[in-house]
Amino acid sequence: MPSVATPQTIIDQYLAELRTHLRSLPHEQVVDIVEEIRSHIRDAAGEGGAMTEASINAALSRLGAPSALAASYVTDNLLARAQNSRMPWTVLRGIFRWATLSVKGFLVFIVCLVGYTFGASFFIAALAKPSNPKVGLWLVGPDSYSLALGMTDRWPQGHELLGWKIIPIGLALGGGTILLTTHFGLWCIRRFRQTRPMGSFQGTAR
Amino acid sequence: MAVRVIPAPAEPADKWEVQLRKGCLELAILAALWSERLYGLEIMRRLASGSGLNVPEGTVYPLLSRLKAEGLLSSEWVEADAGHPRKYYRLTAAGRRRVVEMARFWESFSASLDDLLAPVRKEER
Repeated sequence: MPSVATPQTIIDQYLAELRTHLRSLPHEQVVDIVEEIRSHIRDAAGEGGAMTEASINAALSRLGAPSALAASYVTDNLLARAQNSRMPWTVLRGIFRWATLSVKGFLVFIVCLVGYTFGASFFIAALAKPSNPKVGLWLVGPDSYSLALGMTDRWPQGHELLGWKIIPIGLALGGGTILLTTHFGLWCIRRFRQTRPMGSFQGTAR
Repeated sequence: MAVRVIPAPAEPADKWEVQLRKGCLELAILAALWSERLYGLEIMRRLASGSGLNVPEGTVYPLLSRLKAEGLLSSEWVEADAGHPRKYYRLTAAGRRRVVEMARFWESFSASLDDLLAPVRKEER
């Protein structure tokens, strides 16, 4: 079946694709963005009179691929949300988004992931200790000197380092690490957004 | 007949120009909205004619959305003669304060840079 590309279907296809890529944003915001872009295409393509297929294609190519346009909105939104909520989960989610875009973002993501994992392990160990005494910081030995946080199969050959003290130490160390990681992540996000006043990751003009 | 060769700008300078334009975009958009509300395409036209900032649309719209999220702009949908509604932006009180601050910084910055550039200009002539 030959496809008939009327001006309207070209626009609709573009907007449908844009909508798909924006789906992680709140619904009202998606509607607002899509309608604004629709209005823009009509104005830009209809400047010299009636819209033609050529004028629409020109307007759409200046907007860029729908996926790239949507990515600018979504990334900025996720990073802004991370800055506003300051919760580890949203911070990590925002940085994850950034990680898909640049090496720097990826490195920051790895650092934060390690920080959160480290912090959460201590935190969880401290909370689990009262109900499960086997939980603790174990020096697994004697052949290998690796530290294992949690329950070890080699118990009792292993040597527990902190004993019940893991509760206060774990809470403080875990909480502190999580807090520190969050601050580090937010600091990176703030710097990253400041150096990118365009709110765009498309780099220089095409 | 002499053929005029237009020298291509060296790569670093070219990149520097892009960065400079990028950095000024936010100020340019806020300044364009100083005296009246405008919709996206109007803002871009204003930038192109006023400051030679030819910015791709795919950059301006997400930036407008961010400025709005930051509380510097507000927006409203207005039924236009064109037969479809348009989204107009205007400065909020916080936005007006921000432009004033940015303009103040811009002026002192460009004045001091001008001083530094004075000998360079003299030599050029």
